[in-house]
Amino acid sequence: MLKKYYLSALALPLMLSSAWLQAEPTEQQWQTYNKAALEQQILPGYQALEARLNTLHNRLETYCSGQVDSSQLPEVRQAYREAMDAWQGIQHVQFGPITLFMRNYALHYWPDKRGTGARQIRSALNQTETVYDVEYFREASVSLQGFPAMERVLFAPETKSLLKPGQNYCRFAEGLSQHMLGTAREIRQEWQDEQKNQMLQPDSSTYYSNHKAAAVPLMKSLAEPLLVIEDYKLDYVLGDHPEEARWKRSESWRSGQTLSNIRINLESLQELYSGLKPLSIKSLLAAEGEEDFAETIDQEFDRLQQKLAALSAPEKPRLSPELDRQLRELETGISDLYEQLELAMGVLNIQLGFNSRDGD
Amino acid sequence: MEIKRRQFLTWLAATPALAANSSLLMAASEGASLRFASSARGSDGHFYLKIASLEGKELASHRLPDRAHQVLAHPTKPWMFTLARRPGTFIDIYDAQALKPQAQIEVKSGYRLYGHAQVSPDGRYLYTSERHPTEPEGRLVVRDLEDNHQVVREMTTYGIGPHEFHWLPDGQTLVVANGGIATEGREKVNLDSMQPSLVYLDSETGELLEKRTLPEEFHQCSIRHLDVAADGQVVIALQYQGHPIDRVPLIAAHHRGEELAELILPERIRSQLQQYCGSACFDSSGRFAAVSAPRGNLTTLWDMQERHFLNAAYIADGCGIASTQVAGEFLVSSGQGQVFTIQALSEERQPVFTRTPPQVNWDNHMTLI
Repeated sequence: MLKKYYLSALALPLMLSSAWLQAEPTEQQWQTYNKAALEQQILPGYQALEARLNTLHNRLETYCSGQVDSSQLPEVRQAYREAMDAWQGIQHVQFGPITLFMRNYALHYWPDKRGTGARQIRSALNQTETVYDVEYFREASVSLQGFPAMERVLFAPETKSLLKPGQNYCRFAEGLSQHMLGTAREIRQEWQDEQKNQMLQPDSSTYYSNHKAAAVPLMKSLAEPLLVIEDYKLDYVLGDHPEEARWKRSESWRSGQTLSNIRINLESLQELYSGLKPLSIKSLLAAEGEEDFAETIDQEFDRLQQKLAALSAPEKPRLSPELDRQLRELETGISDLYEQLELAMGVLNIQLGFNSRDGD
Repeated sequence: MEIKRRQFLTWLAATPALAANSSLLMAASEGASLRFASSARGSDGHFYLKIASLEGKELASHRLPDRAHQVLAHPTKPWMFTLARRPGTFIDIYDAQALKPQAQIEVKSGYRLYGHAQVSPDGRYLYTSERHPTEPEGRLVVRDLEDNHQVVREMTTYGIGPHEFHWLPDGQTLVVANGGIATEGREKVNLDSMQPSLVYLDSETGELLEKRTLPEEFHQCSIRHLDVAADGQVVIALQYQGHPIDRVPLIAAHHRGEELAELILPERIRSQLQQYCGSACFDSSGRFAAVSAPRGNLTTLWDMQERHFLNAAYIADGCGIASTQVAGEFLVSSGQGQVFTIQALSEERQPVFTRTPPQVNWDNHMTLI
């Protein structure tokens, strides 16, 4: 359970004026917003993930077929990075097909607090008889799956010497990319076949009661990923004091994407907040008479992006005092933004969760 | 999975006890005078005991000192008992007929409530699950409702963190869910060593009659909420405190003398529940049960004679469950303000509040009165 839920749940109702509670967006407005989010972000997001994973798989196949030499390894790594970028762009959507069959963990099991990933991958790569096919990955531990496992294989010091045609590293990476591609394809397909209709036509299914209810998971997708950034992508790395900070705990330190992951996450959230047409959460807030507040949130997104743009990943495992301070400031900014979005949900009369967040 | 009405009728024919009640299937309108009660957070941020009709009309809204948990009706008197959520200290008594506050009891100094209570079948004694000031094992504390709510005795539950408990059909035995979690305030402090259990106690002597635990590998499955059918079967909602990817039991069943039995969820459903079930309830016939999973936005429905999964209803943030008088039918309340009627044997889902639902967050448990 993410720690911020409890406090904000208590604070929120006390801060709302009665005028806020009376006015809220209409069903038609929510319908328009949901459609915009689906067509402008969710479906393209999963299409991009599938396409980038397809490229990664193709590059790996070519590389591992022996048609190219090891000087092409940067191409494979670049394909990985682009697939990871696509995933970070849609990672905030934690409802629908991604939640079925633990697909979210199969694509990205992180952080691995049990620390079993390294050992399991070493062991898996040593089994020369194993066939790393779809069946293998369907049954395999999540530590052997998804982006973190692929990153370990593609960005290890020994990658260049061991990622060879017919060898275990190649066979494992090819099987894994195939499995990830299959998962992304299933998710995209299920969104198109089922989830899309559930979301856009609540009357036709027994899921959402109405358009507003269908917007709730989108609003959770807008606000809650900030807690993930705060608690895992930053706090887990930084600890309570500078002496506790460990860059090698960060999400993508091997591929050098830790900071760009956060940048892409924030871009997606900001798009969900103010980038959709013809209306956005920002414009809905403004329509409720909260124009200044709506603008403040948008500016906070901009400000966090500026802070991020000024940072670069450390070259050593230890963080410089300056970087440590900047990251902690970023963490505070993310936390503040979350609280503002919680208030925004109050203005729109959206309940993100009660029993689900603080049950007993 | 959708079970067709035809199949249900076949089951009815094969289930004499249920068939005898089958007129209830057509008696939904009989529920017109029925009401439900639950605690809730109001839009002003305060906490209330709310009583409403099944037509969605609010009948009472009684302010509580703090967040509450279970709401319980006295078997013969019109009293509603509302229990503070852990680690609270108040027991609120409200007259649901006169719609007036009756009394408010505080637990003994140093004790803390776990949010659940039962009244003895004769209506005289109130039992509450409580944390002892110093001893790790939890207590059932017994108060005399005919003598100024005096504590007349207390008994150990033979486990840490007793939560929900119920009478067995004999009216003498209590079955208690020991959640196993030691807490400081609301912080959990023993997740690595927790040992939840299901225990059966003699309600008068406090004697331990039976104690069951899950296999050691599932020791982090907190046994927290349960209900008992007329044949003595217990349905149990679990909350797993371990890793989000582990495959562990989330719902279980038990009969005296048996091992605890996991109820098997289809993987498509299990994978959505986020390791957390919130409330468990048998229907009026005792054949069906509903178990809510508020984090997964699903309420699962079970044939408890076959111990077989039937269906899952989508109810966002749904947690509180009550059986109606109709076989196979349940009320489920949502933290988002709506209350739904759902059926074990169909995918039908009807909102109780047909216009705008009230701006409240219904809390974890509800009851029909």
